[in-house]
Amino acid sequence: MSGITFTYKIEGGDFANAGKASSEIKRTLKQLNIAQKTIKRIVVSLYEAEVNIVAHAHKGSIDVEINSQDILIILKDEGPGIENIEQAMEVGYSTASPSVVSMGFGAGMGLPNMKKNSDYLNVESEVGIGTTITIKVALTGS
Amino acid sequence: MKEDFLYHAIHINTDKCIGCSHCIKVCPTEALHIWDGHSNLDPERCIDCDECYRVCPVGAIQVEDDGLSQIENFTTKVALIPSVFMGQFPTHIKAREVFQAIQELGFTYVYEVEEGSQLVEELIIEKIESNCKKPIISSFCPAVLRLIQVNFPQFTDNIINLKTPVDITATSIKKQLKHKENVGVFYFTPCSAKITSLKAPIGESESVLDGVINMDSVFNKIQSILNQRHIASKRDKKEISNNAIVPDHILWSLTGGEIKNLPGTCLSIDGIKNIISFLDRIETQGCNQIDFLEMKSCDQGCAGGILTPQNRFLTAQRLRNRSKYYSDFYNENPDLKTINHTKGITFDEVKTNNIEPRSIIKYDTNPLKALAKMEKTQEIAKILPSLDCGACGFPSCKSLTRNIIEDNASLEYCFIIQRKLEEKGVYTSEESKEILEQIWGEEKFKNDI
Repeated sequence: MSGITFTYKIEGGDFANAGKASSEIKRTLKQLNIAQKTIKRIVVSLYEAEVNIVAHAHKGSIDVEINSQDILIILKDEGPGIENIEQAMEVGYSTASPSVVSMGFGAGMGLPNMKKNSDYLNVESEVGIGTTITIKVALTGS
Repeated sequence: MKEDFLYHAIHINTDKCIGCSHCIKVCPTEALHIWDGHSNLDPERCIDCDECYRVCPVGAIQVEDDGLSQIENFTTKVALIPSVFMGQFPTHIKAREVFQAIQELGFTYVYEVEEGSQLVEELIIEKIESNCKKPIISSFCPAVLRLIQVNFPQFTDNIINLKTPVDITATSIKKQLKHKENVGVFYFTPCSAKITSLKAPIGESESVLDGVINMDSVFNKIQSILNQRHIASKRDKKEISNNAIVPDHILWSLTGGEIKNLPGTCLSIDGIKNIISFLDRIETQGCNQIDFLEMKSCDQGCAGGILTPQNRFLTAQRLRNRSKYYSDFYNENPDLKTINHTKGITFDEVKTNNIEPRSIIKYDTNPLKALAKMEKTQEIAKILPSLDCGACGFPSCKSLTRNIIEDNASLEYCFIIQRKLEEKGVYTSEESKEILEQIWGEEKFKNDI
């Protein structure tokens, strides 16, 4: 089966709308009757990644591909990039500005949470250009 | 007994319905659509929130009413009165007068629902302090429980397995009156959701109540008794009965009433649309900080129920006055003896079963089939105009799409699609009109221009 695809555009700094794409994808997963635990894992990683783009990048996009086996999410942004990916994967490490932290984001849990809640996570980044995050989660019916 | 999802206390009177489509637009679960010139209810989707009733301009949405005569089937007739009923009367009319009037209607005993709140509050506090899944969701409002079942199945586990004050008070009354003959307990309801709960309970096999009395119809009867007796002139100055209601619990059914004395971080939300957007938010973004969530489908809580005859804001204010009066009275009379009838009820008697999810969002139980349907949905979405005009009889293009997928509707219900098909010569304008007549009824096409 070919599966279905969705694309969402994300604006950097638009905290008012942070989470909108995640919410829409979540609705789609509910419509597909994916197991609730799986939906929860996907949405946790996705939301963390979406907020990362809003908090750090100028702009970005989310491409979602769902087929009968798994969901593939590619989040691509134009932004500062990550200098040290290994460090960014550590729990509690954050480069978020104080103003972002004051809004309740940037606790240094983003990437570790994504890792924990996905079956495959790949982070590619170029400083000054941007970051691409690939998340894959296997789908099981409920 | 299996839960009966298909029963609802609300009905559409098709003789009265003019097919104006106001109701289909406000239904939060898209349970209504127009066909054959009138509104139709999909019982699987309806959550008993009563939003349709509020907007109907011709009173075609009606609430089942078993009437007062039902109490005649019992020898010992008990009226269970929620505080919002007291809030329907001006402050100068005291609770005792209303209770007397209720007894004149034929009831043997009158009890107040909010006596049961004390036990509920204690058990919620215990739960908040325990190490359980948070946020704990209140089991108070049946419309909210049904919303969670159908739209937010993930949160069914968060709902506290606890009866409502109505059921707890009813249980304890029945225990106390067990030596009496043929006891029937009747609850004065402010909304249709509680009627549905009685006849098709959620989380329990059978309701402890024997019937419900619709608040709007009984209000008129009480009002006329009060008027006839000129009670005002020989008024009993004492408001307080010996029922032990914690003054704060008079506010239990209003927004914020449940969380007033709870520890931790608690939130109260009223209005079904507000509840939906909040649940959607915490489903996506998580929610670690909130211990307890009180959610009431109606604005101002039960004071905004569709069967309450008086203005919801005035009702809420009267209840605040009454609560303060009680509080002052207790402070001035510290030796006053009161009886809480719910003392001695065990935990097993107030526990409910888990509330099972029954998603109406899913396209199919089989994810593969669901995926195929979703692909079809995407194709249809490209064709439909995204107007959400309602001219197809469904509340939105998305709703029409879902019904096309389910074989309940077809693409040419959309009038823009009809125009395109006419242009292509697939349909004549007469054929297009026939489709619209099927949806909106022939009547609407009879007037001359």
